[in-house]
Amino acid sequence: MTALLSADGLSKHFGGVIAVDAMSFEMAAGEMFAIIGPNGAGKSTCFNMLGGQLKPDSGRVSLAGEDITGMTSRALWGRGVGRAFQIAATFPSMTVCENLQVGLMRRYGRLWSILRSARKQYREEAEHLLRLVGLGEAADKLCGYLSYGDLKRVELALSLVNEPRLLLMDEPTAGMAPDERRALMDLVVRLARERECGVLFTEHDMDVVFGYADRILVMQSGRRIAEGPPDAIRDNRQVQAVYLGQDFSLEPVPGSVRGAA
Amino acid sequence: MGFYVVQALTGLASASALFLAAAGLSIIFGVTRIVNFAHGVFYMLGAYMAWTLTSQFGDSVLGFWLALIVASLSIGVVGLLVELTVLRRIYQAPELFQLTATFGVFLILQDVTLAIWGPEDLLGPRAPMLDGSVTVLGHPLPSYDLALIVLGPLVLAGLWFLFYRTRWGALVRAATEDREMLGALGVNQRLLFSTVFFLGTALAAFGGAAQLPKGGADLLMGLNILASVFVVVVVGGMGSIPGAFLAALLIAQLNAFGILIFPQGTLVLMFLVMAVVLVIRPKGLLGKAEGASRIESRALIEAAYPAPGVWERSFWALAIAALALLPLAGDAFALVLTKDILLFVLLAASLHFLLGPGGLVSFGHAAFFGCGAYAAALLVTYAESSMVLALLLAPLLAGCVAIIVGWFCVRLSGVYFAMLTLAFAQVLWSIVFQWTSVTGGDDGLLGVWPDTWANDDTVFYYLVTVLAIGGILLLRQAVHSPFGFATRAGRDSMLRAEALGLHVKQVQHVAMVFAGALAGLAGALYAFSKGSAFPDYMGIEMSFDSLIAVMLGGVQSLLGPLFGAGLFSWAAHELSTLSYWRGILGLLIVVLVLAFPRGLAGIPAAFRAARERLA
Ligand SMILES: Nc1ncnc2c1ncn2[C@@H]1O[C@H](COP(=O)(O)OP(=O)(O)OP(=O)(O)O)[C@@H](O)[C@H]1O
Ligand SMILES: [Mg+2]
Repeated sequence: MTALLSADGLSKHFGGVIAVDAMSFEMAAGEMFAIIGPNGAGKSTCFNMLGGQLKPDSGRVSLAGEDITGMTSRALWGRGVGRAFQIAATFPSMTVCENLQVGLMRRYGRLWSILRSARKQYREEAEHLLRLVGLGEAADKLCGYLSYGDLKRVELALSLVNEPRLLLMDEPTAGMAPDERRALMDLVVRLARERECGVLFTEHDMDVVFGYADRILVMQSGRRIAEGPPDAIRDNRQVQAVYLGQDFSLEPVPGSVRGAA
Repeated sequence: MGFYVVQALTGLASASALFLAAAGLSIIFGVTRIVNFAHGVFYMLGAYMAWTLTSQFGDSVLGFWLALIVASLSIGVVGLLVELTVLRRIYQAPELFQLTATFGVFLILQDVTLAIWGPEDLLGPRAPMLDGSVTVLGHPLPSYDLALIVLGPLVLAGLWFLFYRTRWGALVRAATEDREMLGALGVNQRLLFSTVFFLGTALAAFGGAAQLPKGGADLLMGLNILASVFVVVVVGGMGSIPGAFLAALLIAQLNAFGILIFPQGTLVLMFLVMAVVLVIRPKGLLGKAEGASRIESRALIEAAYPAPGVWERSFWALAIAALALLPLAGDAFALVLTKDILLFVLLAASLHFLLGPGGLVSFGHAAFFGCGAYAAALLVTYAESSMVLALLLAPLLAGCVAIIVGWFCVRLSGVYFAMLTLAFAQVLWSIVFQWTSVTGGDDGLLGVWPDTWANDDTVFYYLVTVLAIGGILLLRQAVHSPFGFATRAGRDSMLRAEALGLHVKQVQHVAMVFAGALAGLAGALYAFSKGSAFPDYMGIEMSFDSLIAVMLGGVQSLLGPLFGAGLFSWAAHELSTLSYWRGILGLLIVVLVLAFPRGLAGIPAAFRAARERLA
């Protein structure tokens, strides 16, 4: 069986900084796969190369056997890749519902009309998606006024518009309270299982990572230092050293909302 | 051979003055991120001030050069005053605002110059010891050119020393590279911005002063240098001083030799070079990629264009009723004025679609207006086309031009996009201006009258009203349509739009064609209304007038272009009998921008907010 997503020797450098160095991994459909690592480890750079925001310097990415290296995010959207960014990217001048309607109009090829009224298009389908991510109440709020956690939910709903088979989620629960995190991740797991959708995500919250990932890949300075099921990773001495040595704040500290930015 | 060497040396000499002005603009942009339209006027003021001082003290070598320097410093102080009173308040404002405000300052200072020095062109003084010429390979070269050739590199070296050997310079470089970091370092930003503005304007003034013995001083030199300076800065890369130097050399040589091959086309050549550079290197020769987008999310929230409410609908009903009843008043002049205003509103509304929903700041939108006018005029003149056919074809032709122009422009963004649109507009203008055998050149094309059935004033008035209002309503509907949403999506977040499968550049391209076609419709109607087409219809002034109209009205409101263009045409009409009406207009613009940063359409909201504060 071919893997849903496979990366082979992906590398990217910015000037002298080697952000990602020969990363390789594979993940299957329906799998929850986490990439973790301290700040600056190269996680987002990985996501951006997989999601078409950055072109890799070298290496290959394939999606269900098809070579997608260096494709634009637009082309990847057409192949069923959904994306949540580390810094949530939505359309702030539109309401939450309109954000989704844009996605739906694109999906159904209805974006070019200038005579129709956009606000009536796919309104129900948009509201349905919003209820799914727990934003039913906020449908008519402007995205620019939402809290950060809610923006992350809008992003998830937006990635679901195209019924993706792969979700790339860079810190999907950033800015949420612990029970909100669980609710969102429960939903993501359910989607992954029900729709056979692969989910590649990263999080600084270790409860989320160890509670939801089937497999975890640990990065440091652009390189993979470990990969395996949560239990193996938890017990891995090298991983412990990286986290203790690099960033104490990742340990849950009483009173602090979140470990790292 | 000798001739070409002398030509090249002349080119080097003009490169110096160009570089001085461009370096000032580039430094100011680098630190404050303001594209300063007033820059040209400081160049001009430098020349005038130097003229006054040299006529007093310019007989000795020392007196002459001191006069130039004192003139530049005093104009630097004028720049400082402008910074303190106007710019300081708008550093955080959206880019468009800054453009409008600095353009207002330009208009004011232009008229101040007119008031002080009068309308006549001033002859430059002779520079003592440098008023003769030297012979280079058998050809004469003015000695003053030699001085200018030395001056450019000298100032470049001075700037290098300032930037790399002083603490102040280090701060300027830090600010140019990363504005946020500067705040974090706890630097006194106000002081830095003010000093930078002083230096930038003094440099521009020095450029104007230094070329005085060569070219004298006149009231058009500010606007003329502005175009070249923008080209130099954009070609060199915004914020890069060595880039500006390189580009100034390139452009000046191009002018020096271009004039031999293509005597009237140097402007076209210059803009063509810029177009080529920008297509190959979208950030200029030595420019660096800018960080985050300039558009703040706050500004975007305001540009939300909610579905039309009751009062907007009633406004439209009333406006249309009033327009329909106007001919009953029997005032022929009111009909003419209303027709002009409506067409200007249509032009402004089509530009608004690009500026507002599209987030595309076009400096050359009048090009499409002019294309529509010329398409109609050419069809009538050469194909004896009927008015109806011309009105159908003109928007299509303007749209076709927009397809070509847009294809290049949408590859760029921000200031670079703006400059490329301006470049194309200038190229089109030059073609129309210089292709005399076909377009009539400066004399324009005359005799573009409506068909007999529409030749009656009232009938033609209704025709214009119906088409203009139709076009305006179509643009308004487009904002609320799926395509309008796609346009806004691309403006709000390119990243998200692309990840949702939208081809943002393609959407922008179509938006340009759509807006261009409607501007073309306005232009064609205008040609029939005036019975003629002139190069002015697509000139820089026309483009800027429409920009100002949109910004006066407020980008974030769909009624903005209506109010803005209405006010602008009315003011232009009422004030144009006064001798300083451009200056008054500039003052009006600056005051409005400072008082109502959201434009006229934002006034009700501003009053509501004020009432809430008081309550
Ligand atoms: N556009 C860029 N230009 C230059 N350097 C970059 C760029 N993007 C990332 N880097 C550098 O590459 C390295 C990896 O960054 P990346 O954002 O991938 O880390 P990350 O693991 O996502 O960190 P975080 O947990 O803070 O999000 C860092 O050293 C970063 O400074
Ligand atoms: Mg990251």
